[in-house]
Amino acid sequence: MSIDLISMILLWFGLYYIVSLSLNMEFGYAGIPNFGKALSVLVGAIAVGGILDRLLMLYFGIGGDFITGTTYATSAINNLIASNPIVGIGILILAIILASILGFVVGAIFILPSAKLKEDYLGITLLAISEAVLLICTYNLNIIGGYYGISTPDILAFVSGEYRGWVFAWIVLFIAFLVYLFFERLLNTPFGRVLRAMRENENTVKAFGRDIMKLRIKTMAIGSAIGAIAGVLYSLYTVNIIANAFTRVDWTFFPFLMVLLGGKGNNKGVALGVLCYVIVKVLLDIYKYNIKYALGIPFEPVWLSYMLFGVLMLLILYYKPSGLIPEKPIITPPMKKKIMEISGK
Amino acid sequence: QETTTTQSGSKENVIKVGLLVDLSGGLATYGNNEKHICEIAEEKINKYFEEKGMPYKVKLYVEDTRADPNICLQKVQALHAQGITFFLGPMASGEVKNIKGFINSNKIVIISPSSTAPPQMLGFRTPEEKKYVFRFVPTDNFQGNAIGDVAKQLGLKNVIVIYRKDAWGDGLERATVEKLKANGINIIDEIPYDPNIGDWSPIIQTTTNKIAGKGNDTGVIFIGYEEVATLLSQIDDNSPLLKHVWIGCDGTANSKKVLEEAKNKAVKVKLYSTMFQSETDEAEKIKEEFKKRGYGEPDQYALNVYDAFWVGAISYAEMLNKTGGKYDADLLSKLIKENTVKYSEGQFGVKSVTGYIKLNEWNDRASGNYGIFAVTEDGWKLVGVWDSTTGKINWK
Repeated sequence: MSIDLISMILLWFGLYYIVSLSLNMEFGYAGIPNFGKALSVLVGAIAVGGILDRLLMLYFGIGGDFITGTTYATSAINNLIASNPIVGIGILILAIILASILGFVVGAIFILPSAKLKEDYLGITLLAISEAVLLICTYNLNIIGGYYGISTPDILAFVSGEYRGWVFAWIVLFIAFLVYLFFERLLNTPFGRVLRAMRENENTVKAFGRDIMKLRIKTMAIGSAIGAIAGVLYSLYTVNIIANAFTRVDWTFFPFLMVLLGGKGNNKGVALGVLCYVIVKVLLDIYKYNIKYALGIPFEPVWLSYMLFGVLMLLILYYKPSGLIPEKPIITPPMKKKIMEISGK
Repeated sequence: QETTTTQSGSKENVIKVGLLVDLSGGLATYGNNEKHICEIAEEKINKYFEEKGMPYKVKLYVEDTRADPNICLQKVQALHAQGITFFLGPMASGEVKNIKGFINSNKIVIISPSSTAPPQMLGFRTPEEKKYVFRFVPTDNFQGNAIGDVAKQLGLKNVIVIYRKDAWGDGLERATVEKLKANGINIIDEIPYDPNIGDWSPIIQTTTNKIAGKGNDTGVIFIGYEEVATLLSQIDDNSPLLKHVWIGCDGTANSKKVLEEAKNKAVKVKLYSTMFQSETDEAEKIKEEFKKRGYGEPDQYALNVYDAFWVGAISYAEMLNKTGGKYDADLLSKLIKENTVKYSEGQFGVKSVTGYIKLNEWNDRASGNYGIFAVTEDGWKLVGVWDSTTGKINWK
């Protein structure tokens, strides 16, 4: 096994941890079955391919059609980045800001049509909206280049190709760590506790005077903003994006699998779930032909991972729905004090 | 690079070569052919290195991209993470376009045997930007002309064009339409379809409506991949669509899927399909070996990738020799350019199977004739050759 494999595992761990953390807030804490999670990642791609690229075209004074123009624009900015690393970092930060804002707004709007829906109906509605937007982005060439795809800046144009994977992996991991810190703090506030309450019993929360819809909007806005960051990082890593890279399988269903595997409702459990999934997926991908020949599998082995992960999902739901690391009650300082008193007696 | 020790105790450097082919999608016939012929090439190249006393061995890593740009990118990333820096493939232009940025940024070199969209359609502005991307096949500027001339010489006055809505399909459709108009052929309609299409009935209905009442001088031009088999199989046996001549392209030529799923209907419409055509006597030997192993008949793109493997392996070995074992993408790119000429001229003691490979400034094949294949009761047959220099067709 090549050591570069580790940089790939780290990269995908970071990307998927960001997405899964935001899904964990939406689904694990708030109980919102966001089957449209892929949309927030796609929004990140739109921020890079649709907005940032257009800004670059404006900056360099490049006209003409969108797809051709952005090819020139990204080439020009890459030349600039190659000799000015600070520009590359600046582009990354700008892209993240753009995506977070766009994700926040889209997330808030995205949940509105679901005002009166719950559970399955809510989940399917969000999935349908996500799919509709993906199809629009695929066949409308003016958003992110549709089925042609579009170039994105190489923010590491100053790094040798030999080390690019490693540098990018560490950038992604660093940002994933920041996202983890953000969610740890956010979800251990009264806001986090009320989300859990909403998940357990909406009527009780209503009885205490809370506005369920407002809570949903906040949750989806924040979750979508964070998901969009993953979309940005993926788009800048691949330096070319195409709409069908943001399918529900890769960015909705697998994140659900990771959250459920690791343990919904706690961020450390999610980390374990993501790590397990990424390692298995990467190894399965690399050794699938060895597996095929060893076991005499009669079909093309590319389908193997879908089958195995599908079975794994069913097994989790049936045998261990709490995941590898079950969530624990939130112990607030007053509760801690009371527990100390009781145990002291 | 990995270093392995053979029984003799000498050290051999392993040259890892990634092969990006479609084994389960719309180009699976060609993908499997390319995989099989590369397995043959791997054996021959290793034997060559051994006989020449060169301390290298090639190892092939196959990946199934399903002719899907997104999956192709994932596979390149996965193989790159295993230390692979030289790739054969990918097959489709949409795939090349999607991995272009990644391979330029990570300094990967590829030789595609069948990506045919013009360089500008792939997002390359200058030849310098495309120095890591080689294509041992002419672009669709040539094929568009070939298809247009086939239509003309079949006596067609009107055509309906059905085309695959992706980077490659758009490009070939555009080139073809341009030539059709230049040949004075009226284009009744241009109908795009989603590459993921399953139900063809809306398109069948539209095409049937447009072709109603037209005579034998009207035909259908299909620009797409093997999904044409599904299209044909969904057409009613008594449909007027089957009373007109159809023209395909390199994505349909010699398709096993067409024979398996819709042979009877394909025989009716002939499905004249153009495919880059350039073979040497050496190709006959490879074909015999291919058949002997039970793989059937290799297509032109399989032969292209065979030559690409040889040129790439020899160049990679030479690069390692020059740099003392370190990878240098710019040197490899330069050597491939040079060795393509030497290999074509037989300077390495092995013969090309696709004739002289002349590359243009974009590192694409600079010219090419096109074979015209049609479906008969006995399967696909070569029925003519379009000459790129004269535009004439020699029918057989």
